Amino acid sequence: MKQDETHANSDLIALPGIRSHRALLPDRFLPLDELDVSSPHENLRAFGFDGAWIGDDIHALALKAGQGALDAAGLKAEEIGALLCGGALPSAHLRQSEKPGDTGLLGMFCYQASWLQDALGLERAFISGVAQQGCAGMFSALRQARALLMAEPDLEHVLCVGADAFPQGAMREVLYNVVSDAACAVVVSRENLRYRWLAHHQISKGWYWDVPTRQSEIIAAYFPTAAMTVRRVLAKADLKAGDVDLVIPTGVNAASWPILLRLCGIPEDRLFIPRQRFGHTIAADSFLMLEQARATGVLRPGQRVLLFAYGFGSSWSAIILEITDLI
Amino acid sequence: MKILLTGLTGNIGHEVARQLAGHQVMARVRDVTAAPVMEHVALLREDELDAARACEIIIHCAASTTFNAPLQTLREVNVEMTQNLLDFAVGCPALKRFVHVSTACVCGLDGGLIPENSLPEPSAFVNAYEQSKWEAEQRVLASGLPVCIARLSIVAGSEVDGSVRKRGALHHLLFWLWKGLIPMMPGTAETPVDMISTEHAARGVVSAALADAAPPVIHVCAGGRSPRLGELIQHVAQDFASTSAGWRSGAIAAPEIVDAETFALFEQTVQQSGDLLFQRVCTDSKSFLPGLLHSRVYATALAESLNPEPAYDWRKLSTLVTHHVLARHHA
Repeated sequence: MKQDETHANSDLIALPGIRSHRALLPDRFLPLDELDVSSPHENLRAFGFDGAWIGDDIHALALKAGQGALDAAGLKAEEIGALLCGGALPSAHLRQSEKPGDTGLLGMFCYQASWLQDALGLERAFISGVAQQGCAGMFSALRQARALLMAEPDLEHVLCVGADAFPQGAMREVLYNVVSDAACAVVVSRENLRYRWLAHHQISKGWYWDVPTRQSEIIAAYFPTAAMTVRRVLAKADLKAGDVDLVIPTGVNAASWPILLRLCGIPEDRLFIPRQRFGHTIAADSFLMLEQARATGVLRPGQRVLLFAYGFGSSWSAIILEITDLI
Repeated sequence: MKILLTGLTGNIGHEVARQLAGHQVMARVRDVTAAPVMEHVALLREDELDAARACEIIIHCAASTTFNAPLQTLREVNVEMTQNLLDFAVGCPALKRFVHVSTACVCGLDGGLIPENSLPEPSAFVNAYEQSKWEAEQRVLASGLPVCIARLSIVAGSEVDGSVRKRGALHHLLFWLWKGLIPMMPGTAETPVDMISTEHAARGVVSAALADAAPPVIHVCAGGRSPRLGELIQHVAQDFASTSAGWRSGAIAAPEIVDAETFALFEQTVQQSGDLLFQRVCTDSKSFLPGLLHSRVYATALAESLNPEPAYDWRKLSTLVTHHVLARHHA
């Protein structure tokens, strides 16, 4: 039996999956006209970008998302055994010291995970960061959370948090994607699951580590490797392309998703089309989309849902979830 | 034989001239200084054509192969120049054959088995080059002269050392592919990719010129022995692995083979992005790849009746040409 095969087998129901999630955008939206972007606005609009959500305090947003995920899971803070922070940017793993003036080297040891543990009251949790996988970092955090739960029977719930924000006034376009700030949090548990975990697959290619030098090669590598990743996750889940009921996209270039679905043989009508477009938010895209899908009644028990993300580094990552009755 | 040759400095002209050793070849060239020196070849400037009135055979290799040039420009070179040469041939009393070198791609987007005879105008052409060569064929066939049209498939390079006199769409694509910049190709894994060596192309043309009798159209092509797109990509990827750590490690993935609609969506995305490098890759691709969507096999029986073919080793040819293209890039 493959490790990732859970399906509806009652013996395996206790395998870890996703219990709850919460994703948040900041309050402030700036249209393209007010953003620093390099491509013509009409090009960006054609790719699905109207502007970006800008946050003043990403840590506060992460805290709010974390609390929201705990509330949605019906868990108290002390029930969380581990906290994994999966932000993509190096700055997502650091919090500025509250000491006035220059903190010197000590300031580099002020970790976001430590602060979040304190702020959320996760007294029993151990903390860790999952980094260096760009926008695929949150998927990796979920995978590691699940692996922890399977390896350590005493551990019951893991909270994964991803929150990224660009510096104030920074360029907002990255390779034809307009980037918003956002935060998300996911509780991975063994019980009361909204999503069973059917399979995960990640392909990492260190060849593409130098993003500025290899940006064209990265663009070209995106589709063949993305298709390979999806095929492999489908094989792990023992599913065919047509068995996927819903594809939850990220906020990257909207034109790329029909192409990826065609490459994988997944019917295009399985692609979730969000009502609200928010650009690309690095870690939070998939969960902002999932929340929209849930809120609009698109998610139904028994559905197999494919999530896919690509992160600079380069990592291509896909997860297949099955919706439970608790949705 | 007294033979008038055009296109000596082009892709196959030099090899055609080499295979005509023992004959008296007069080569019309635009730039005498750029032409290779061969003992049996006399060079004629454009205004010296009358010196070739006594020729018995005309081999017309000269053409513009700038696939993405405007149709009008290509017509001036590929159609009107052919007409001028046909008009000249009418005044050659000893003429036994006029061999017109054309392209197998005159079938445009038509698929299936392409016969060795005059083709009706296809539903569409991939590029203006194909159209200009189809129009030139109509002039040749209507001339009333003893003609033989030799349609060549993709001339990949030398079967001896892989060398290429003029880099074409295939060679540009090979380079982009090696760089890992081609994420997808249109077609199916089973689509035949008809390519031949420079020597093979020249043998076909020379046999059409020297045979006692020749049909009006022959296909100097690999025909049914062509590699399939899937196996060709697989083979090229293996060759790339010897010169690229990215290919060797599997970091660079072979392109996906996709249908027309998917490829069009990808092209549209590239255009929308405005990415200049990818637009260049797409421009090179557009002159070559769309033909792969229309799977076809070229009949070759008539060509082979003139020139029985030796064993065809596309793998060896592909390897030689790949290494030559990459060596030139690194140089």
